[in-house]
Amino acid sequence: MRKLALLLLVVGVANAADVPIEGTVQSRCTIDTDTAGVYGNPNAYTLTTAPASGGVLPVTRFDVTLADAYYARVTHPSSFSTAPAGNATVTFTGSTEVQTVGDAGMSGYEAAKTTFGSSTQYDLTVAGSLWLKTSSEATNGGDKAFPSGTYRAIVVAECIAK
Amino acid sequence: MSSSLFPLYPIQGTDINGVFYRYTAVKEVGDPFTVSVQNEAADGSGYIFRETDDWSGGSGATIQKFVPVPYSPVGDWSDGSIEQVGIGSMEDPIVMYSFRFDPSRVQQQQELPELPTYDVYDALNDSFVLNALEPTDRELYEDDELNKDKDEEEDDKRLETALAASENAITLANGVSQSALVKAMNIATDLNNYYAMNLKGGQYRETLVLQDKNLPDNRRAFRSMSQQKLHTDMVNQQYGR
Repeated sequence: MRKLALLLLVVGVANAADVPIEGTVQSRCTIDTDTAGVYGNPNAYTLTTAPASGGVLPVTRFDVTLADAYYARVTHPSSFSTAPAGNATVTFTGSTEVQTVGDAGMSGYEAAKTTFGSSTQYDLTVAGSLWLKTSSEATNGGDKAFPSGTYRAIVVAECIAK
Repeated sequence: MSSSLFPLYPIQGTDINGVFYRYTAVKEVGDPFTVSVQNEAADGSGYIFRETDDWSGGSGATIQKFVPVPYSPVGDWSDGSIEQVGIGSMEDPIVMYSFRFDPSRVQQQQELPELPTYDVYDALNDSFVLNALEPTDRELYEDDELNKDKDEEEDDKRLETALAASENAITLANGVSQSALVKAMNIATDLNNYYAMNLKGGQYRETLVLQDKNLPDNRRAFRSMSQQKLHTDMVNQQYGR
């Protein structure tokens, strides 16, 4: 009897193995830059993306393949990522709104959006593509002229799982 | 319901595999409104492609959509249309088709043009030429002499008829000639000179000048008027007036 038990133990050790489990999660929400924004300079102390002032509105595209699983959040700039030295206090304003929808069921997104701080959030209840345009305006304090140079700001787009 | 048509031109070797469209739906929240982008099948069996957007639940917006479809020859597709149903309108529509092109399926058609047929004129086979080339027939020549005599007789008759009518013709011509004569006289008198005559005008200024001065009463007339009154009174007295 003892002999048999040992034999079983040996057999058990010989059959042990680590079985790996792997999986790949495909993204159900992707973000692309549809149009890069451009600041126009209508006067010495203002930079704006308004087309009427020579600017270009940045457009962000969200593609969602899974309905009612994500929020789209876009945050307009509150500072320059790149700017010449010597700026005074710069005030940033901005907003985000729906430019184009990929499905008629998204027509209510604009009315249902929530805004907090510099961020605007959309509940992506319908699968499909959504184009969001963001406006941004920077005004130099005291209406002082911006120093010459290149100014760059970043719009942050996020896909947040519910 | 309203719909707008747009053509789809068949090109050999082309297969459609998707439809991209974009438009802006303009409507009020709550109004029912649907927009269908569609293509009928070329064989008349219904729609080979139809995508409907139901905007009834929300407000209008700009929609941009790509709808993939299985590869199908463009010849199976008929003209497309956008159909609107409900309360709302559509602006700036764009419809584009995604396709692949296989040049090996293009059938080379080299059709020879139809050449017109021309009748070649052969003068030697022309009946008139052949007749002209025939030797002169004497009998025909004599017949011509007889015909010539007949023609002369007819000419004489015409001359007689013309002479008989000459009297009338002269009478008629008199009227014509008189008109021509009057016309010539009018030309001679040259009435145009009168028509074109201009009377020299001018300004006739007032030459009399009345100067202010005392104008005496006409005593003579005054006396005459008093005598007239006296006469009238005397006459009236006769009648007891």
